[in-house]
This record gives sequence, C-alpha cells and structure tokens, in this order.
Amino acid sequence: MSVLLTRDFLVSLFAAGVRMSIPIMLPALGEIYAERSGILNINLEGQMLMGAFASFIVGHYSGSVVLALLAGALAGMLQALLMATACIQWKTQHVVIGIVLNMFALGFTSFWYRVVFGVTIAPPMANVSGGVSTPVPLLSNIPVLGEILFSQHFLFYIAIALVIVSRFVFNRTFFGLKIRSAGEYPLAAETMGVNICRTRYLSMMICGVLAGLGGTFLSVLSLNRFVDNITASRGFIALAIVIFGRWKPLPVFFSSLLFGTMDAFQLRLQSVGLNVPYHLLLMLPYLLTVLVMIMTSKNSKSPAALGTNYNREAMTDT
Amino acid sequence: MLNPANTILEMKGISKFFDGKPANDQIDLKVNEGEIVALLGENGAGKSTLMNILFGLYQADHGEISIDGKVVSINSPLDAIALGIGMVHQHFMLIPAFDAYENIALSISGKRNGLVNHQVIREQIKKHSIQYNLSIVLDTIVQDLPVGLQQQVEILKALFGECRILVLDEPTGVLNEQEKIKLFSSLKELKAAGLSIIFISHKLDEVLDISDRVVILRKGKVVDSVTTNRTNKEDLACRMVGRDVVFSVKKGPRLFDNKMKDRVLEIKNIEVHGKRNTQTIKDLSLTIHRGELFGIAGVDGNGQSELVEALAGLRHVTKGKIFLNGNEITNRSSRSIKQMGLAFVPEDRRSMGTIASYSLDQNIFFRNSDSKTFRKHFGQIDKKKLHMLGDRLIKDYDIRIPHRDMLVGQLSGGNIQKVILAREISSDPVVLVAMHPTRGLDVGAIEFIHTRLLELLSSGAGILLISTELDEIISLSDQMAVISNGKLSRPFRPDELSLSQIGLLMGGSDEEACR
Repeated sequence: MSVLLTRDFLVSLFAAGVRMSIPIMLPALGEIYAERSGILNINLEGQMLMGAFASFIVGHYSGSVVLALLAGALAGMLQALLMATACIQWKTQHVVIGIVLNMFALGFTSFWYRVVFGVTIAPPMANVSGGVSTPVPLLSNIPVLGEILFSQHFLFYIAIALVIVSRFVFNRTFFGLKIRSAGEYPLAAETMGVNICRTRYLSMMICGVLAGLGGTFLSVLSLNRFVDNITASRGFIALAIVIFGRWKPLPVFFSSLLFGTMDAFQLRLQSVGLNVPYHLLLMLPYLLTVLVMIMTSKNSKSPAALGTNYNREAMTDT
Repeated sequence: MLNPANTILEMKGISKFFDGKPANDQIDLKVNEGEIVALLGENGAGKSTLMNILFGLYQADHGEISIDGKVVSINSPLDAIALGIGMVHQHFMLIPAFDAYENIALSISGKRNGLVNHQVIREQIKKHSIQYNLSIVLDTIVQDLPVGLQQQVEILKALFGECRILVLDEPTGVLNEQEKIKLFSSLKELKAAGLSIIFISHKLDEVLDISDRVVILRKGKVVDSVTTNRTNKEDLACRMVGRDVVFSVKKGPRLFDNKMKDRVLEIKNIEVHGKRNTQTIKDLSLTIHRGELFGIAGVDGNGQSELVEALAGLRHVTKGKIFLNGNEITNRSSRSIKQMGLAFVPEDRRSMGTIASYSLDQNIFFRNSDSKTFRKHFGQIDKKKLHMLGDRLIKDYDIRIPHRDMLVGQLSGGNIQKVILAREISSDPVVLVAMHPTRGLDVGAIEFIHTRLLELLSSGAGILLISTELDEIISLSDQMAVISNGKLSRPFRPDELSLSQIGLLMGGSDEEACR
C-alpha cells in the first residue's frame, strides 16, 4: 500500500483526476444554465454524444483541432435546440423527451459511424494535434500544484475561465437574473419584462455548446477515436453533480474535480493489483456520488419551476 | 401642469370570453391623469380579467385600448410596461427566491443584457422609496418578508418601470390595518405626483376612502360610474350586488341561551410553540358552551394560526389540556379529533382547506373517508352516493360550479369557501373552528356564510370564530376576546367595550389601561 502514498503517485493521481473531470465539468456547467432557466435537460448525455461524433468526423477529415471543437460545439447545440424546441414550443414533458432524445442520439451516432467508416478491424483515428497537455509558462514550474493544475489540457483552462464567467453572469448581469427568474417563477418574470421563451432557448444553446465540447474532449482529444456510447453515462453524472453543486458554478467545478479524482483513483487501484474484483473499484465514484447526494440534497433547493412548461394564460389566476 | 380632464387611458367595448361565457362584456373605461379610479364589483364580476387584458396577460376578443388618444395593441406584459402601465397583482408577481433588490433589478432588465450596476440601482431604489414613502427591505429573500413589505416591493417595482398608470388588484386583501393605512398614504403620494391609479376592490369602505371615481362592474358589465363624494356605502353596495344588502347578519333569538351550561370546548392553560418567526401561545384558556359563538379578534400573526392548528391536532401542545364535549383531545391525532366532532375551516382555503386538483366530490369524500357510508365492497368508493351528497351540498350552499367535473382549484374563492363550509357543517360537528372564513369574499358570499354559521349555532353546536375583521367578530359573537402576542385577553361581551378599547387591546396594550 505504501506505493499509494508516494509523492509521484499522488501528483499523477490528482493530475489525472483533473483531466478526467473535464468531460464532466463542461456539461455540468452547461446544465446549470439549462436548469436555472427551468428546463430539466436530461438530454445532456445525447448532446455530449452528438458533439463527440461530429467533432470526430470533422477532426478525422480536416485534422484541425479548432474545426473539430467548433463542430462538436455546433452539434451539441443543435441537439440542445431540438430538446429546447420540444420543451418550449411543443410543451412536452422534459424527462420523457430527454430520454427519447438520448436514445435517438445513441442510435444516430452509432448508425452514421458505420455508414461513414464501415465495420473495421483497426478503428479510424481522429489524428488531431492538440490531444496533449499545454503547460502554462511559469505557473507550471510551481512544484506539485503546477504539475497538477497547470500542466493540463488547454480545455481545462477554458473550463476554469468559463466557471468564472458563469459565476459573473449569474450574479452580476441582467442576463443571469433573467435566466434565474425564468426557472423560479416564469409568470412573474414575464410581468417584469423577461421573454421566457428567448431566455430558455439561449440557456439551452449555451448548455448544448458546453456539452458538445465535453463530448469533443472524450472522442477527439482524449481517446483519439470514436466508439459507440463513448460518453458512458457521463452526462448523467454531470446531472448529479449539478444537484450536488446546488446549481452554482463554483461548487459544480469542485464537485467535478472530486468526481474526476475518484475516477482516477479507482483506475490506479486497479493497476496496483489489489485482491478485489475490479468491478467493485469501478463502483467507487458512483458510490461517492450516492453518499454525497444523501448528505447534501436536504439543503439543496432546486429552481422552483424546474421541469415545468410555461403557459401564460393557464397560470394566470382569474 | 396637471390637467385633470386629460384622458390618459381609454378602453372601448372590451369583451373577453372563457369557454363561450363572457367574463367581460362590452366594457368601456376611461381614466384621467392623476385620478384614482376604483373598480368595484363582486368576485367574478370581471375586474381582474379586464385588468389582465390591460396588462397583456390576456388578449381581448373584442374592443380597443387607447393611451393618450392613440390606439395601442398590448400583446404581452412587455408591451404594457413599455406603454407605462404598471400592475400590482393580487398574487404578487415577485420571484420568491430573489431578494427585493434582485426583483427590482430584474424588473428594469427589459431589453438590457449587460452588467447590473448595483450601486446605481440601489441609489435609485433609495430615492424612489423616500419620495413615495415606501418601506423597502432590500437584502431579505422576498418569501421571508411579511406580505405588507412584499407589496411595497411590488409597488416600487411597478414605479421603476416608469409607469403612468398603476393598477392595483385587490391590494388590501392580505394586509392588516396598519399596512393598509401605509398603503393608502403611499397611493396618495403617487396620485399627487401625477400618476393615474386603478384600484380594484370589493370593499366599500376602502373604495370610498381612496378613490375619486367608482366604476361598478356586475357580471362582466359596467353598471355605473359615479363620483365618489356623491355616493355612500349603501348606495354602492346596492349597485354592486344588484339588490339590497343587509350589512350585518343579525343574531336571531337563540334556542340555547347561556343557561345551557354544557361546555362543548374547553381550553385550559395551553402552551403552544409557534413556527420559526411567529408567536408562541402562553397560558391560553377559553370555554365555549353549546350554541355559543366565541370570537377571537386580533392582528394577524399573533398566535391565531398556532391556536387553530393545536386544536385541529396539527401542532403539538406542550402544556395544558383541551377538552371537546368533556373528552380530552390534547395532542390526539387530527383524525380522531375530527371523529369526535370537531370541524375545521382552515385559514388558507386553497392550500389547507381543499385539494385544488381534485373535484368537488373527491374533496367532500375526504371528510368522510373513514365512514362506511361511501364504501362499497372491497373498499371501492360509492361514487353514486357521493355524487348525491355533492348535489345536495351544491344546492343547499348555493355553490356555483359550471360543471361537476371541474376541479375545486378552478372555482372562485367564495365558492371554494362554500365547499369547505358545506363539507364541514354536513359532518354535524359539536364544535366548528373557523379561521378567516370570509377573508377576501364579496358582500353576498359573506352574508351567506354568516347566515350559515348562525344556523349551525341554533342547532346547538359551538363555534370558535377567528378573524381579523372586527366588524364580523362584533356582530356575530356572544363572547369575544382579543389575542395579542400569543396571549388572550379576558373574555367580554361585544357591547362591553368600545371600539377604541378593543383597538387598544389589539395593539397589545395592557387590559387595565383600556378600562
């Protein structure tokens, strides 16, 4: 067990944890926008999957990181728009349509992958430069901390920036106030001049972009290939993290780090060769989520109008 | 500068139909600059509908609205706000999870998307609240504020939208006496500043007190428009209801006078702990005899809710005892207390008194779910019998329900209250505990409910009536007392003390000081 306590082990553990938190952090951050505006976006998983797939195709044929990222963001956004239209325009139940659209995304990506690449023995690569880490000058020289936080993939730095920006948006801008009001009491918000439809569409688009970027990280940047169901329920983990993080950017950021670290830890325990079935170790991050949720969910209050469709005349008292 | 003859708003031939029934029928309304117009009418007369059309929450089926002589189209609240129309809604349009500051900031967000400049907005709020004499607590979450303060936020919010026409929908329904006085003084300031105000109410005294002109609505039509100082209470009431109204239902001769000393309800020195911020009841005692109505007056939030909940078995009694018909019911379950003959009209008729998403039959069934009357084999509900009981209660209590499958939550407040009363009285109670049974209701419904209460008395039950309407308590009670700070005054006959003495007790003055 002593191998677990060496400096090198711990540094590599936390560095890997940070890296593994990226594809959860970005979608979770996006989900804050969606849920704060009142839409229970169960479709997060599907948006990630679409992003992962589209970015892989574009990356594979163009070889450009920038184009792959753009494609991933765009695909995630389009999938989110579909979800948003279903909720806002057609007033369907959020949970039901979310599940349906997740199945759609899974089928869609698996099918078109085969159409484009056929069934191959050697799976095609994305072959995009940019899968490696980008150390920040100076900061990465700090011992321990520099190795963990500042020798990361550039998407992590973008994620940190987005967390800070989001925090600012929710607390200090009119747009943030509008998003929150739409998720709390849309009728009152509308009497105060908030366009509920527009606000919810915009929030969903932001969410889709972030989810798509999360998917892009998985396929193009991290694995360098696409496989069926590459997201493996990370979208749902992100949903749980949003609740755990009380719908706030900063707590969601730290929860993602915690979860990523737990994931990295169980991978390392597997390689150390403990005498337990690896399935048990695989379970650890999920177990942690359950425990933390039990302890915190009492105090976390969801947006009051989360998951409800807004219908002006039906809500007005006579 | 002010030209009182300047018409600022004109609504012409407004009609709105719900399910083919007219809620507004060819309504004309004119409002001048700097004028307070009262819209007076019973519940369901179409006042709120008309104002929701003005504010863009509803679309009129016919008619046109012009502002400053120009015809405008108002498709959403956004349009209304842009045209200078502000509205204080009956159910406040505030985000409960936001603090007052965030609510006001949101209300000016309009087309803006940039940064919220905290300092500038705070200063503006301060300026406005001083100018119009409003009390604003900025940094408390709105749902934790007392309703009076919430309303002040709502008004300030409307003013921030730079409105020229302010609509207030039943603004006093939730306020206590002091809050009402405060509101009226704010409104007078606003009027002096040149605002036009439309004041929706069904309370005659208020209308006479505050308005320059009264427009009376009945069944969706304008019946009359009169200058306030040329009318009086009886005249207005008559026009509003369309018939003569008896103002206080008189206590008839009682079958049971005080010689019948059967005590139906006895509360002995109880102590009850209150909700987080409200009053705790200390050492409270009272006795009600057969056929007697005991009234408790007092300003809201002085322990009334806690007392009623303790009686109904919803709140723990820490000290003392309660007897119903000689049997102790202290801290027994709500169900067994009801079975022993206590009926209960809770203060909030929508959330506690009924299940809004259930039909009338289903709501009635709840009171009788224990009895075998409505049970068939294998625990099935006997819907036919239930339906018959429903029919009878609808007829006896004049419940106006468009069709039988309608959800109770869709009925008007008065009709919901009749459903509750019908359900509770039909259980043949020993004691009825009624809290705010007529709050927010129109004159006709109040009269009806008072009559029913007195009928129940003459059948030998006792009633504990808790209300903030002093007139109601005085005109109905045999014995009354005032609750203040969780303490009950010595019981007295309504004619024993003068109004000002009772008022002093309500304000928490020492009893001896009132003598």
